[in-house]
Amino acid sequence: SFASFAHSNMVRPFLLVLFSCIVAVSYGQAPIYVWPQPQSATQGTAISGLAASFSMKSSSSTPSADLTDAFARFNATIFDHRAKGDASSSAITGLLVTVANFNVPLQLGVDESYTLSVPASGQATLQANTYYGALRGLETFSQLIYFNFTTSMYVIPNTPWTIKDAPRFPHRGVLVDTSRHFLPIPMLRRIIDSISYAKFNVLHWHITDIQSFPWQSSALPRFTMAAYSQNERFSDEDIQDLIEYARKRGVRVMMEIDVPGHAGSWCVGYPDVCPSPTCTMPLDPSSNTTWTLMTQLFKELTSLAPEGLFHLGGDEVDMSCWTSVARVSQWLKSHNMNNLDAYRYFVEQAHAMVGSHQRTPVNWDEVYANFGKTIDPNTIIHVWRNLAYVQNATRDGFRVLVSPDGPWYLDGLGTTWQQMYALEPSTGITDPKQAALILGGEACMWGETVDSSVVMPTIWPRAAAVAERLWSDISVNSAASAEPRYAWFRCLLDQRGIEAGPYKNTQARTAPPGPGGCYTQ
Amino acid sequence: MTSIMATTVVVVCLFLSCVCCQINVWPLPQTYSHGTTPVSVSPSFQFTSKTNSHTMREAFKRYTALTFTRTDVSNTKQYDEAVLSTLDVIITDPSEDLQLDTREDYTLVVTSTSATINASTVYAAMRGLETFSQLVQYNISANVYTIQQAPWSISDHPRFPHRGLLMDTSRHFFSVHYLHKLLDSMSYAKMNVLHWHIVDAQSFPMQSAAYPLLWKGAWSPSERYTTQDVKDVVEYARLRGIRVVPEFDGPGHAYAWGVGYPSLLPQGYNISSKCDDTCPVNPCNVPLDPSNEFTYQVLEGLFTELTAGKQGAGIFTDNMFHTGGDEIEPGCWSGSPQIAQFMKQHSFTSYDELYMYFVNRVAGMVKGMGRQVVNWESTYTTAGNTLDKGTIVNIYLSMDVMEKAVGSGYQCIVSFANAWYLDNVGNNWTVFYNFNPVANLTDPSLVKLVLGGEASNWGETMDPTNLFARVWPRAAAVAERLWSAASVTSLTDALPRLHAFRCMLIDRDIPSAPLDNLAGPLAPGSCLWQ
Repeated sequence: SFASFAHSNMVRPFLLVLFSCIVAVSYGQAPIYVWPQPQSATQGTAISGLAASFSMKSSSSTPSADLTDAFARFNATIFDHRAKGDASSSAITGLLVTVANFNVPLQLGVDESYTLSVPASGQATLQANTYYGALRGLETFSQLIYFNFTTSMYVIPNTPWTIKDAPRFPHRGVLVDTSRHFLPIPMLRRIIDSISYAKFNVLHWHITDIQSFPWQSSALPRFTMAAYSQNERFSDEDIQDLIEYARKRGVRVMMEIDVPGHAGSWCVGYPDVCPSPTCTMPLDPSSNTTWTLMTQLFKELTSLAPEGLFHLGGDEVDMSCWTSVARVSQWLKSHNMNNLDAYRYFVEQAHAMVGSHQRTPVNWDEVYANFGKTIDPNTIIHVWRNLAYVQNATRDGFRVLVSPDGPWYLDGLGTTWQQMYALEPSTGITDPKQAALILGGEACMWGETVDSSVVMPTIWPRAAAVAERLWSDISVNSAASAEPRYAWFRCLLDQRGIEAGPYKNTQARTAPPGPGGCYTQ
Repeated sequence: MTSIMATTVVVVCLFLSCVCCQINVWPLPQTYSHGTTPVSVSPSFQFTSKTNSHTMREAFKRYTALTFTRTDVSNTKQYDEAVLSTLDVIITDPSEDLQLDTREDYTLVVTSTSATINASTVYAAMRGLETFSQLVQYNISANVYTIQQAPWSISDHPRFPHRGLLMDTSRHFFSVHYLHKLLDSMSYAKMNVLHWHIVDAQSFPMQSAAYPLLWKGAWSPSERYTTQDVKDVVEYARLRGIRVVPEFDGPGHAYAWGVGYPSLLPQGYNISSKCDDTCPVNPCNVPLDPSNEFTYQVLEGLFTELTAGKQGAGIFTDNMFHTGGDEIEPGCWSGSPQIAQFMKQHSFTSYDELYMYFVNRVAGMVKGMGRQVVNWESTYTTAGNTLDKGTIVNIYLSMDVMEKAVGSGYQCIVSFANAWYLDNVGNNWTVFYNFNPVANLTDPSLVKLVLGGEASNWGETMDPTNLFARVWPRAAAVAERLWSAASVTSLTDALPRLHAFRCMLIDRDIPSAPLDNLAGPLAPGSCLWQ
């Protein structure tokens, strides 16, 4: 029995539960080892092996290339050892996937619900309204399967299973920052893989900032002069390919071009969009080039990215250069504007520009804080400074995204997963109509001190806490209850080649303190 | 805002340096010359060879994917005349046996219209392909692949035949996925040995059909390697020209063996006050019981399973077999009446004699299976020149011991802890780079006994989280020391090339640490200078 498996002087109670989950014939109240926790699940007491002939099949008569590719991916992820099939009559023979409508595009609010049934023997079934719902069900299915090292078989414990699941929030994102440090395409792909394991569905791509401009725009080739180097750049094709890669995994890619602040890298290639060489930000409203560039840039980027939301930043606008540079201050005067008027003018112009491409603007909460109900009511407010803005903005009828600096900023290395887990986006909101305006949130991986060498263990496993908060029911909120499952998910990530840090370390991405197994560190 | 302008200046310089003044190949080839002509690489470029082996085809597939990450490159030539459409590989010796003496020398010639690798073996060809892949650059503005400074003529071979990385999978477990990726990354630096420290006191993660309880000593059921997993790793390594030298450390560092088979550990160790058995925390070095016949039965059974009892056969096909032999805690033997009785029978008056009894018996066993024994230097320091002459001494503590050992005719592998232990996180790449394993040897016949060395990646404070940042870029310094000419020692010359190599590792999805801070960057910046 595996009950005596662990070193005798290192009994780890939860592990024993996990082991029995793998090998025991029956047990009662064990936690469901799926992350994030499904909305509802019932389980049995059988343990079922996968037949040698096990395969995933689509019930549709017309093959879907997306689903075929997804099957290949999930097969590669699940079957990481060479195994024997279960030859008994009680084996699971396959997974039949039914998608009601393959033609639903991936946009905010796409139906991600699914129903997964795994009998004690025979064929398992997965039903979803969309391809993207099927992906979530496949992920859950992949997490139910274990390799039994003793029998060399893949098994599903606790059959029969019935899982009915759907996300609590439609927008569940991870922000990546490719300006402070460049992240190459293979790493971005792997980040997309990893976030799909936790049922995140948005990569918020903060592609440019003050420090570098890695996008090689084909329409505006001088932008990329502000790339860190020749190789630290993305072509239009890179961006398109990555978006398609993400789409196949059910991940929307929301681009952010932060204006008028955080745009200092623009003036490397286009000096006349900045107030002066020594006072580079915010962008210069008096320069025609500023408006031409913004128009062209949004046009090109929206042609590459089909995503309906477009993030326009709008945060941390220090307007002192507009005052100190005579050309700008004179322009403001002649247009009868003060600094704040100019800031608003930027926001409104940017809204109109992306609006002309049928995109919904997203802005950091400064835009709401400064201009309140006077801006386009269709704007989505991305709250980062204070949860009070969630309450106020939803009261004013705005839709919001939640990424509080502190709890959900992954670059805060001292923020523990328990703190991330504890944050409830709807805190202080009682009106269900107001609560419904919360679209979801994002864990933010700002890049000042994060490059390829550390990005994965800085994101993982802590982002999983945010993923569960955004997917699972509001009542799933006890970090203590979640901990063994969280540890298990960390090991799953490690197994899948995602470098998730030791979950017990209170400082993110630090080395394990000594020898140990992944479930205990 | 001045910082932004400063950045601009740096960026411009870097752009220029990419096209003019240096060879960005790591490790530096033995000899090379180049011209001044840029060459475009055709979008339909192909590797070709008359040698139509599976190993060769796999290498071509790999290097096509590594070199040409973009599939939608433009047909537009960037330069008028020169378009390279093939690289032809010619192999002299078709044998694919991979051992210490396998040749790795190659020449690579790239003209404006043709490229050729002449290689002694398929594995030598891989070294040439790696060099070629590092010469090819992607020009994002023109959307073409190019080779700058053609024509190139490179003639290359390793300085040492054994260029290894020790990987510890006992203190923490690493799924096969990571081992594969580690092997990939080693091949980028032309390292050719994975010294697989599979087992230690803390866990025994490997399956044995002969002794199926051994892997009860794993951290958990999922943190284990099946026999098939191990075979896959060995073959994955071979396909990249990397030998796998397994290590089964004994009699010390063996606590985990006793989880499945308690009688392998000395009687009474757990009640002896002289035995530090605070497992799983270091040192946890409860040794095997050398007085117990069962110990030798298990070793014989396991090693037979792993070697099939004859040269070149079994799961681990390499001629070298590492049996450890370091850091014995005889205090753990002192509580056993059976050991006391055994020593009396054999008239042993010290634990060293007992220790060497074990070492010699295991060495005889392993030699009988057609393998050359490798030991940590401790067995040589204990036995001196009475140690079997065929034993390869793996130096880690003392370079004086190395000089003595080669002076007495022993072959050595150098893993000098002060310089080449990757778990010394305070040592940056320059410490690794500055160390010369044969610094004090003048007699060329003695230098020849130094087979090479290893960067040692001990796992106490390393798990999948920080594996690659622990290893890279510092192991690259060791790789260059062991491959390139002895005269290649300048840190200043190496620095930009190492930065470029680190950027390449990152582009190839190996999360290598910044050169200036192992734990992650301290501020925004580029891989080319951080």
